Order: sequence, then C-alpha cells, then structure tokens
Amino acid sequence: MSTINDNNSMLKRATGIAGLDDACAGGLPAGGLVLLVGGEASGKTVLCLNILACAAQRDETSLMLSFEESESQIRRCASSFAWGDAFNNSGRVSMIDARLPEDAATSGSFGLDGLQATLAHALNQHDTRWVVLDGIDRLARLHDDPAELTCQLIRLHDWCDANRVTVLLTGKHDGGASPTHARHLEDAEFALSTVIVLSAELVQRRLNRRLRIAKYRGSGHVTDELAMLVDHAGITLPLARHETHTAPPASNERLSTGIPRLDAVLGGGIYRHSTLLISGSPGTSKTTLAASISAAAVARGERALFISFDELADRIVRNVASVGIDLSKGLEQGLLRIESCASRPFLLEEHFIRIQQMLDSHAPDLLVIDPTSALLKANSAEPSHAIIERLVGMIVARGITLVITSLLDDGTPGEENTLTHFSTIADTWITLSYHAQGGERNRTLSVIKSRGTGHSNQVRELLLSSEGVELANVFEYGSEVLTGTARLLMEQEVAAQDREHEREQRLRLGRLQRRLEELDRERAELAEEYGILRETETHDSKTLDRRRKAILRHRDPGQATTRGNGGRHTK
Amino acid sequence: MTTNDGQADLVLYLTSDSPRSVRARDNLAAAIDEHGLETLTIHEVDLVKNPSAAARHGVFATPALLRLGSNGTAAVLYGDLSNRESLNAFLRAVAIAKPA
Repeated sequence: MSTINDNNSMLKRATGIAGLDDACAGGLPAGGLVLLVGGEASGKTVLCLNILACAAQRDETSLMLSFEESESQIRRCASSFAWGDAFNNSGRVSMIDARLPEDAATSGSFGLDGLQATLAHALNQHDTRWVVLDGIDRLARLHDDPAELTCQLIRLHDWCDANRVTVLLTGKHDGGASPTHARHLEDAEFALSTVIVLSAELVQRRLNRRLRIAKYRGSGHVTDELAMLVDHAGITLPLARHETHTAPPASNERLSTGIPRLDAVLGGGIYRHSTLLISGSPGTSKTTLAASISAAAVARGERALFISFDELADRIVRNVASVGIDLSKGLEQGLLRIESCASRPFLLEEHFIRIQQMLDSHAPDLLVIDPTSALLKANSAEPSHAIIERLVGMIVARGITLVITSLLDDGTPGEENTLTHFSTIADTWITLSYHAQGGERNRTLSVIKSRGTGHSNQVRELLLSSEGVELANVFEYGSEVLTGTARLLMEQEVAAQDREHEREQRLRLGRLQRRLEELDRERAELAEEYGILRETETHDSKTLDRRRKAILRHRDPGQATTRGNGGRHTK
Repeated sequence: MTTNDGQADLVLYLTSDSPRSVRARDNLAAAIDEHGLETLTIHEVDLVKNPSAAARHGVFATPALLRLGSNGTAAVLYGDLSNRESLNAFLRAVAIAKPA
C-alpha cells in the first residue's frame, strides 16, 4: 500500500493552505517525509501549525513532536492565528515535547526506530496521518555520521510511504554559515524526494517571505520562488492560486460615464468588462471623473467598489458632492462601497489579496482603483508590473469593468514606464490636463485611445460646477481650440459678427424688396397706359372709318355701296 | 538485571532485538561488570512493545540510556553504547550520585 496510484500517478494529501496546494498540483505526498528547510523567521513552524490546524478543521488527527520549543510556546504561537482555536482546543492535535536534554551525549550511533515506533502507535491508536517533527536538526546534530542518519531517514520515509503517513520535518538552513547544520541537512536534502525551502529577507526594510518547492519527485509543481504572506489568517501564497473565474465574452454593451457629452465622444460610453485608464497630473479631476462613473453605475442599479489610496471615504463623498455627484445614496443602498487604504505599509502581494477579498465579499460590477500608480509605491517580492498585470487579469477574468487612474509622471526613478505600461492594459485611455492660455488654466479632457470605437481627436474643455460635470461643446470657430475666458470672448465676438452680418443681410434684402415693389408699381402703370393707348387707338380707328364712310356716302353714294360688292375704283 | 520501574537508577530504551539494541545491552552489561556496578538497578523499556513510554521522557532516538537525577531531571546517553569512554563517564556520574 504505497502512494503510487494504479495508473502510476502520485497520491496526494491536500494541505488546506491557499496557494500551496495549487503550487503542488494537489497537495503534498500522501505518505513519506517532506523536508522543510529555512532560516530564522522564515515561517517553517507556522506553516506546519497551519497545516495541522487545517487537518483538525477537517476532523483529522495529527501529531506534533517539538524538538526545539516547548509545548506551551508552540500553543501560544498557534493562538495568535485565526485557527489557533482549532489547533489548541479541538483535541485533534497531539503534542509531544521532544526536546533533548541539554547535556545529551552520544556513545556510538543511534537510530530513529523509537521515532518510528511512536508514529506507528499514533497511526494505530488515532489514525494519525499528519505528523510534524519540528526542529529535527537538533536531533540530527547529535548524530556523528550524516550518511548513516540519511539512511535512517530514508528507512523512516519508506515506512511512512508504505503506511500513508505524511511527515513534515523542519530544519534550520542558514545557507551554510554554520557547517554543522548545513552538513546534516544537505545529505538529507539530496536523499529525500520532497523538499521545500523557505526564506525571509529584508527588501527595502520590509520583510519578504518566499517559498520554493525545491524538489517534488513524482509530481509537477511550480518551480518559482513564490511570495508567502503570514498574517492573522495564517499562511497564504497569493500568486500561486489559479484564477477560477473565466473571462466573459466581449460585450457590446456601453456603460454611461454620467457625463452625456463624454458618452457621445466614446461612442455611447465605455464597454462593459473593459478597462478605462484616466491619467493626468495632480488636481486634474481624475477622482471626480471616476466618482461620476461609479455614481452612474449605481444609478443603473449595479454594484460598484471604489478603492482609494489617496483619500478617506467621507472626504471623497464630500468633495464630489460639491460638483453635483451624489455618492451617499449608493452607499446607503449598499450598492457602492468605498475603501480607503494606505499603499506603503503593505506589500503589493498583500494588496493583491485584500483586493481579491474585497471583490469576493462585495461582488461589484465596476471597480475603481484610484490611483493605481500608488500601488507601485508598495514593496514586492516580484517585479511590481508583473503583479499588477496579474491583478488586472484577475479583475478582468471576473467580468468586472475596471477604471484605473494614474498620475502622469511621478518623476520617481524606475517609474518612467508606468503610464506606458498601464496604457497597454487599458482599452480606453482618457487624459485630463490643464490648458494655460491668456493668463488662465482651464481643465481639458481628451481621448487618447479607445479600442473598438472611433473617437474624436478633439481636446474638450471639462467644466465643473455645482450643477455637475460637463464637457463643453466642440468649439466651432477658428483653427485653434480655445477654452475658458478666451473661448467666451471668442464666442461673443463671433456672435456679434454674426449679428452684424445678419443685420446687413436684412438691410440688403429690404432694399431689394423695395426696389422690386417700385418696379412692380411702374409696371402696373405702364400696363395701364398701354391698355388705355390701345383702347384709344381702336376708338380712333373706328371713328376714322366712320368719318371716311360718311364722306364717301356724301361724295358718291353708288360707290359706297359697290365697294361693298368688291368693285374697284379705277382711274 | 531488571528491577521495578521508579526505583531504577538507569533506564535503557531499546527497540526489540534490533542490532543496535542488542549491542547496547551487551555493551552496558560489559561496562557494569568492568566497573563493578552490579548494584545499579537497570530498567529496560522496549519502545516497540511500549511506544507511549517514549513520550514520557522524550526519547525517540534509540538506543538510549537514561539516568534519573535526584531532582527529577534526566540525563541521556544516545547510541549503542559502543563508545566506552562516554559510557564510562556517564556511569561514573550515576555511581557518584548513588550513595554506597
């Protein structure tokens, strides 16, 4: 009965520690020795205590032999964690004080059979499957033959493997500074098949703990050095955890920013599930814009989470209320949550976990991180950009629409590429700025990039007033976009010009109109004249005719009648 | 050479008849003979038969020879007792502590 499955894969035992089981592809071997080495304060003992506490919570029994600390010391250590109760009071964890007497001496070589007998007893009596031998290097130090000791460890390992008991051995590893320690454990490290190395070092005055699975024969595992956090909840490996959510398909739905003209510029708003970057120097209203987007989300009945590294929650609410954005309603309804936190006191990995926990508990549709560039002030074991990318990846995978704000340029060395880096993550990039002209500074907004939307290249003026946040209309005149007073004056000037122009037009039209009327009258007169003339002419002609006929009748009556018969008067 | 527990000057922890355990028993017997310490009481504990005894005095490496001090503290000598020098030193301390 060994730990190899029928299909030759290894049987594993889950430790219950977030991230460790992921990093080990399921857990530690279900039988055999696991060597945990590390220097001072690297967390070896805490890791073991955490594993045993998790086992106790699953109602499994475990045994701890302490070769270094007293039982009360260990129990005190455990009680400082959230699972201390499970460890100390569940009755599932047996502790044996195995400390060697100070004057322990040796005569000849000794074996670990007694140890094995103890483990066999625990297995038979209580079905103990997890055993911790904390500080085994104390015992190892006594042994004068490291090769012999290693053989004994292998024998013990084989017994544990056969009986499906997982034994965690912890030992001090100080990088070879003390020859005794390094020697004993080095051989064991070679011989045993599962070795985990813990380390703790000061990086810019912050303690960075790391865990590395140096060896895990028979199983795939993460080989990188992983950040390990120790806090009240115990041990966590934040970046080893696989993201269990899968990103939703790209959405065509547009979300309003709360500023109608800005929505228009963005083709309707920002896409759901996308990432928006708002950049700008201090004081350019990034927080205000982010707050407007949050308020718009709440107005749609959606949940929003606003994380601020700069301001306290009530200050933000007050500040944006002065420009007509009401966040208090969303807070009351529970749809909006504002969390403020300082960035420097925590490691970036700790921020990662806290944000993850906040997302788990509040389940928002929209997340604002203001300013995201503050996260770069925190220390981290891994390169900051890598962690931030993972953070954004985690957020996007959950289908959350993300708004990040960033200061333009801190001028801090090493951060020159911050904005460029953020901009590659973002789908939409809005930059806020001040436009100085004619002795004034006016706020401007422009869209630098907007994936999936054609967008205007215009720099628009951002207007803040107690009525709300507005984007000014596109400036229609001239070759240069003006803002503020200059714009006002220009507009007035143009309006005056327009009026003048209009007036002239009216005058001209008036004149023409009058001319037309005049001509009309003339025409009418002439027509009348013409009519009279024609009438007169007809009358005259008739009169003439009558007169002629009368004369003819008088002079030659016969002719007058024959004329009518067509006779010709020839002479 | 076994007597009741509690009265014993020495306790020898063994694991059945493993080679080391046999050697330890033999070496101890030889040393006792050599130094005329037959008056010392020795109690043998077999950890295979009696595993819980190991926890009582925290003895997990075997063989081990334990002597109880007057104030309840224990001094332990680990190993198969093949190193005569350290064994003698250990036994001397017991003999000194025990009157007559």
